[in-house]
Amino acid sequence: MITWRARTWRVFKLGLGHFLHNRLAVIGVAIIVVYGMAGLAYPFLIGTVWPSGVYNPVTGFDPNVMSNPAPPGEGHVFGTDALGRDVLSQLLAATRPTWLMAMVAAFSTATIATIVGAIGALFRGFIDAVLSRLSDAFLLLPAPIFMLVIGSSERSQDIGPVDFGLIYGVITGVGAGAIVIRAQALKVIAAPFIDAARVAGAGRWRILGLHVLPHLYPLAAVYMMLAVVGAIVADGFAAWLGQTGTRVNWGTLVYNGITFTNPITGLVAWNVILPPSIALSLFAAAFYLVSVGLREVADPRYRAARRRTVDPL
Amino acid sequence: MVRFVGRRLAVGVVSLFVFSFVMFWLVESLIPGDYFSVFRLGMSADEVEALRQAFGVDLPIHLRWWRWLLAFFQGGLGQSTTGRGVTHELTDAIAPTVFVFVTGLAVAFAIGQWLGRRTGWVGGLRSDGITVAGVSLSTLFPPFVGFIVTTVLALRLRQWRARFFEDERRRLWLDAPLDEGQFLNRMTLALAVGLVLAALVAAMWWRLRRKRITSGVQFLLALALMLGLWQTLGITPWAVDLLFDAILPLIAFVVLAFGEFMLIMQAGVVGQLNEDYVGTARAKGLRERTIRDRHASKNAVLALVARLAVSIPYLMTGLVIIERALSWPGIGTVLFRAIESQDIPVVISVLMVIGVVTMLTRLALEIITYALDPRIAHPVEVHV
Repeated sequence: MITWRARTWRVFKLGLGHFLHNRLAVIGVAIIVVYGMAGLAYPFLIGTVWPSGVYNPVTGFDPNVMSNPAPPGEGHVFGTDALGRDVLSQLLAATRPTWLMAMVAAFSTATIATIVGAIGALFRGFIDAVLSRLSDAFLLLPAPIFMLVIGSSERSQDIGPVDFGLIYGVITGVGAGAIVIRAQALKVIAAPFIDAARVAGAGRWRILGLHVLPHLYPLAAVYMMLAVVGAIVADGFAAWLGQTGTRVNWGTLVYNGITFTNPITGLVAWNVILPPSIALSLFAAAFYLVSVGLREVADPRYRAARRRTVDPL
Repeated sequence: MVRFVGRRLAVGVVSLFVFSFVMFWLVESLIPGDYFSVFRLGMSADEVEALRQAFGVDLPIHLRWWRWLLAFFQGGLGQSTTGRGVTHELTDAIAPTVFVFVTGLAVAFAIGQWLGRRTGWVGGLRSDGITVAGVSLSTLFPPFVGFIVTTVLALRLRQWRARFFEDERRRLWLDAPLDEGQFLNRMTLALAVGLVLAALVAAMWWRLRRKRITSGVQFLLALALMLGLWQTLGITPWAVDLLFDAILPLIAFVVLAFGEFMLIMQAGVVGQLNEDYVGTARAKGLRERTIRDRHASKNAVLALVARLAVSIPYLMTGLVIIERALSWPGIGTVLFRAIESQDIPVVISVLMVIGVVTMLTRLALEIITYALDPRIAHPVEVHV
């Protein structure tokens, strides 16, 4: 047991070292952490620094601002929207649900993809055929579009960020995720050390848990990061159409900015459109950058080529 | 080849079958009610029940699905709640979507793999910068892209066209031999034929003369073939006009799609850098450009095509969102109108059409992979 733990720790440290060596991945993690901290800090900010009557993301109004939407100025870092609400406050209020949704989508995608893909590859035969056809079928179902169909159902207002992430995770996990993982699992199972384990008398589940799965985690991690990118954009778009339970969302903010121009000058309120668009892209991009780093952990050949060195392994 | 295509086609049809049931079941159970509960208009409960029985809406779900599937393949898709047939609604919308999808995919693929090949080979800090640029392009919020494209380009384009071509355009469409959908279909076909023929010519040239045609020349050849086909079909003036109409969704789609292609291609090329054959080619004294274009990128493009097959639904989604944001009269616009007005027959049919388009694109990609990768046709037998 001790040796097992020591070995796991060593492998983990090695992987962490490879991951930290990639500066893009580190930047990605930093962005995600900053977003998480912003989401956590928001409830404290609204009670103490920002008086909630002025800065409430839904009903706030600042009587000192003459005409809305106002450009960035004192007290409002990104200005106000057409209804006089502070943009930065809305931006931060939307961070926590989106962050939660992204995390749920990431972990449900990875878990389901790994289970479905590994079981299909290990058992082959009838089970594999059924699971593969199911994956192919789910691949034809674009998850973001399907989220909109769900959004139009009568219970759509009950779909919170966690449910959104879960449903998205199931669709991408069973579909594209499982296909990618299954291909990798087939490659692993063909390796000689699996035969060795089988000859040594290991059962199916032992081979799966001890020998196959550890080789699938890194790839599953890469894939889950990629799936989150789609989930974030889909969530924003569902909110853009007004079809999720979350009232405050980056997508809603973009929609408001595009739809409600300045009533007096008729100008587009760029201070309402740009911050949420950039926030959304940056958040999604962070997950992509993390996936680049994870790929270096997962794929020694790729790592060596990226660093222009001959791999010591 | 024929056996391979036949097998993949069979698999595609089976998965389409499964997909149709899953989709039908999910949509029917998520969006409650049917035509007679939405439009009951003061009918009594008994009357509604009688009508439901008469139209078969009260049947269990698998029977309804089966009836719908049979009707789907016989070309009748039922009635939209707008009073028009679903078939009618869809045929108008498919041509614009498919045109933008195919053209945009071809352009984005060409740009993406060209850029990815170059930046991947350079490596280092500059390559990281390009990665960041590609990532930020591919994660842009589609409605935002649509908005930028409209505010920056749409008005100028419209004014420019109004100044120069207004009279010609009016006369042009007065005596048009076909309608817009038919023109768009022919344009899509011309593009596809042009691309395939250019690839075939390049392959034949290599077989017969042992001379390579560079990808740039191949691209120009495809373009020339496409324009030639337009002339032969006699659709040139209308095609040019429609191309102007389609330019905004095309630009938005390409901007969203090519970043991802570039990233995958870049990663693929980086993965080839340390391979032994690259070292061999260097030792032979080949130029770096030759090694990159003829050896490394040929292997890297396989990864790109493989990834593309998985990303097709997401690209399709991006297109649907752009259509909605730019009011391009394609499938996306129809879908969102249907979703907003609970028009279930249209929603189901649109999802099914998206499924069919995705399946066919995947099949095309698999055939391309088959042609590019000899390992699939002649697998190496490993004896341990």
